[in-house]
Amino acid sequence: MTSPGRRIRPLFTLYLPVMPFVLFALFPLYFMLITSLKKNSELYDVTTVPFLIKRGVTLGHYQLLSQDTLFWSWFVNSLIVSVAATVVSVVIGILAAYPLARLRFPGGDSFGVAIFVTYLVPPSLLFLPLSTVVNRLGLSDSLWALVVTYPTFLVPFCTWLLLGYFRTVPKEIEECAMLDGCNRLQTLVRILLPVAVPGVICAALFAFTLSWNEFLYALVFVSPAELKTMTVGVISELIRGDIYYWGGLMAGACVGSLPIVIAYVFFLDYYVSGLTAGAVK
Amino acid sequence: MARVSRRQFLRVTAGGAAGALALGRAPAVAQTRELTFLSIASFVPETDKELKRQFEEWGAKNKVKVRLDIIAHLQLQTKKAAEVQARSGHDLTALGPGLGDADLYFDYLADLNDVATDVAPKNGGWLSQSDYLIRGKWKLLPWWQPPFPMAVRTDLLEKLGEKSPDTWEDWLRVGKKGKAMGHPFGTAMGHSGDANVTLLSILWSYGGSYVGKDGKTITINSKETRQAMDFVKRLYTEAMDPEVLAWDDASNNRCLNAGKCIAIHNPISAYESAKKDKVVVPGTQKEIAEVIDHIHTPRGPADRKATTGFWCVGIWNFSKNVDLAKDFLRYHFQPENLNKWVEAGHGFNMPFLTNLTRHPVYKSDKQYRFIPEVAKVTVPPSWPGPNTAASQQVWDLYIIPDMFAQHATGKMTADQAIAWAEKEMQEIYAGRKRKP
Amino acid sequence: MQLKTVEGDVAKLAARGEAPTAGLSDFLVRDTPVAYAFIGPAFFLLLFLVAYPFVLSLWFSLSDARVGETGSFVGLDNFARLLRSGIFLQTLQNSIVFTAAALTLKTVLGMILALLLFRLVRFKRLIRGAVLLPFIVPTALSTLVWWWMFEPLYSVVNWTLKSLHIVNYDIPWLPDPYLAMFTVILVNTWRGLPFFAITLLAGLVAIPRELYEAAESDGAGPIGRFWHVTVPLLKPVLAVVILFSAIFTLADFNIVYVLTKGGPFNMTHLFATYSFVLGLQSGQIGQGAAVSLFLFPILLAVVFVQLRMVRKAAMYD
Repeated sequence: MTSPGRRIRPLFTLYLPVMPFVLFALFPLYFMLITSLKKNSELYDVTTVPFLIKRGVTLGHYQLLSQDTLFWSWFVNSLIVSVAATVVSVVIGILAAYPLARLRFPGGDSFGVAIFVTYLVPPSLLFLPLSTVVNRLGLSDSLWALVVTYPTFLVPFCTWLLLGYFRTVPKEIEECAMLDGCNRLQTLVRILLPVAVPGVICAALFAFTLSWNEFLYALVFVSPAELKTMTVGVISELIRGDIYYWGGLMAGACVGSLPIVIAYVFFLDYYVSGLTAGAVK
Repeated sequence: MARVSRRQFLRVTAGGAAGALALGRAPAVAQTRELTFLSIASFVPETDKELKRQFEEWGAKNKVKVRLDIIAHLQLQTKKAAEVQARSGHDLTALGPGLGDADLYFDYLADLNDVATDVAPKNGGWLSQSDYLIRGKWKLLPWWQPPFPMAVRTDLLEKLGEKSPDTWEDWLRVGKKGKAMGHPFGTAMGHSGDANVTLLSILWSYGGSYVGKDGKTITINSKETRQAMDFVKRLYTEAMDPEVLAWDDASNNRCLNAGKCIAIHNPISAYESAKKDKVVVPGTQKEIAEVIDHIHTPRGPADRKATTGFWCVGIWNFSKNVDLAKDFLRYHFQPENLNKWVEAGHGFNMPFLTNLTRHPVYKSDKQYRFIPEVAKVTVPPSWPGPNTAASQQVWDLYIIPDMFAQHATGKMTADQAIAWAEKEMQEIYAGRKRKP
Repeated sequence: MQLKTVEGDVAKLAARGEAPTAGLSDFLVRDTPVAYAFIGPAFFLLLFLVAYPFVLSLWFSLSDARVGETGSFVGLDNFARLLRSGIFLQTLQNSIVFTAAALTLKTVLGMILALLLFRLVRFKRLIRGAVLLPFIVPTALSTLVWWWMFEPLYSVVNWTLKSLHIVNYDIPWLPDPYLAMFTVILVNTWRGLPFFAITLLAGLVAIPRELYEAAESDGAGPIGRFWHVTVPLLKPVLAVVILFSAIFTLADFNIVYVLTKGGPFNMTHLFATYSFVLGLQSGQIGQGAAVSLFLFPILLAVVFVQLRMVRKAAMYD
């Protein structure tokens, strides 16, 4: 049994100090939520208390979003693209990380560094030459353009993270499997991957987040309204010159954050333990 | 007529692989012709709906599949650059703000001489034809402009005992009195399009300009510029709040509609949205739209001039459908279609054609009575110089607003600020010289 | 480096006498065709979609390319012109201030937050999840809410400060050049802090308990344990996180583009936003590319040195 003093102490040394961080993190999001629920007349009235809703909650902004725009199509597009790009990147990342972690071959070290260096290339610049490539591949104006280009910034991170994770797994078990006649691919899939699940989930979650948030490529490579992704769609339709539809924009942000929030709720523990092994080594 | 373009062919090939998963579009059917149009989300949404209706109507008549894609105007630059780089994208595209795109993308825009001469006589002629010709050619059609009148709170003016202020000096006086009772004057002075518009209007009204008629000589260093700058300094310190330095294009609308600003230099969009959202004057039940009026853009000691965003439309010459696209432009620029389109936009989108400036919509609401007057004194932002990629860069880098603001805030003396702007502009214009 | 690791492992295995011979183990790590086959997809993806466009970008920075034109070679002319431009020099200074300040804030606050999160027992998942949120909400939209919070007229921040009578006037968050820089740094910190906190938390979890117990029995207090156990063992993680974040912070676009567009008086322009104006809005790709790549040689050197250090540190664990 702990004494009351011992139970209360963490309140002051731990929970109280952590509060400012939580507030700092959450306040803008709270503000986003209430903005999306306020009536315009209250939203644009300078005399009201900004962080309360006094004149009644309205779902009007959400209605505007789902009735007057193609929000749900955009939402589905974002989902398709993010899932597909994540799967592609994680698979490529696993394949690339394995030899880097386990094998010795000419050029291995240089490739490891090259992967990191790709991050030094500013995307704000890369997209112009890339648009030529996308067009030559005949992918403009299709979601494929995004499934193909997103891995350019996802694969390096996935590889790097998984490389670290694989290194933490003892290689003896694999060697045994190989002596038993498994080939490399079988060893990787049957022996290594099951142990590396947290690392893979961590990489996938990260890749999904980055794809879901991507804006520039989605804007440039895909034009038709019904093929836009969520962020591009919301911003295209709800910022009209010198008029911002604040309620609608914030409603889009709220609904648009849900899938990732749900993903993190389920996988948060894996995320931390995946990073623990992957990023640390 | 139907040709399989290389792009369509590639798409079909790629689509074959993609087809199974049906990601994105279904493989394009090569037999139907498709015309695509990239436009910006209009400030009055009904405008887009009417454009879409006309586009589809034309498509149905000509058995052409049509697609109108709308993006936010801030994203247009990125999109244009990517399409030109890839030599692929839409057939028709919105261009602007400003006519600079015609110079910037001169080699990638189809000649529109024939269309421009066709549509002009039916609509009473172009407002100021020579302004729109780039290197002597029609590379784009000027499409619409939102003229900048002065939007003003009539109830506050009455309270101050002011009657129809007309000069910039009048507005300084009104703003000063207004600020004393919590209702300052409002004009953006930061990195925004509105700041460019209003500060250029003031510069010209005091007799200044930044580039000569030859499109080469930088003329910013003048005593007229100094006068304009001293005026803006007084306007900033005596009649406005420092927040104007951070304003974007939407901020002055909010300032007026929130009941704070006594007057703003802005198109009618603020009024339109106040009317739609039924915003009230704070502390009363009165709708703010009822106490807003729009009057003439102010006059200075030398002149009465203003500018605005010149939104244009053009056809990429790498499009496979140049003739079809021209055909749609002719259709859209028919008087009855333009009329309907202006009607839908409540007059916010004023074409650069004489007859349209006399559209009945400008008589339908007392609010709009000065809009055609403002249009008459509206010139391109590079006035008196021609529109070039360089003048566009002066606009995009906000050289004019920064010059004014650096002096107004006391960061620099007038001479320092002018010298700074002069040097930046010279660099820009020198770097833009075309190779022979 | 790879070699050493392998030899170390072999030695370990041999010593335990439970592994195949060193010769076989050595054979197992030499499988070049398989290595290339596995790396193939990543290699070709990066070659066509990153390396090729990147080389083109390098060319742009050395040419007078405009949008749509390849341009002709002009040497370092673009860079020379940049160095003559007052706006660029200001941008350079802004980028350094922005990155240094945001990184410092994120490192210090991230470390504090990670230490706190590590000790949580109750509401652990809830609180960890909450502080992670800013990182996962789409940036393009979350930046808008920050703008709405600092927008001069409706600023909820100013409203609160005034209501609490802390100030009696509107603080010019975005109109004042220095406050504007502060604001964009703040928003960048808000967004990047979770990445630091969670990754450092992961690093903390990995530190063996025994080391703390040993330090405690040697008489080290909490501060001593922090400096002598936590910090040295977190160094490799810290190095990687800071490196990553430095690259992304330096390339930040959205926050400045939404909040200030580089204003007031270009005092918040960063490389990405200035390059956007020059390269895209004005169509001078060469100039824009030069802005983007201005720091590339320095960054490249930093990455090489730091990766080397990180690997060494990881190896001697």
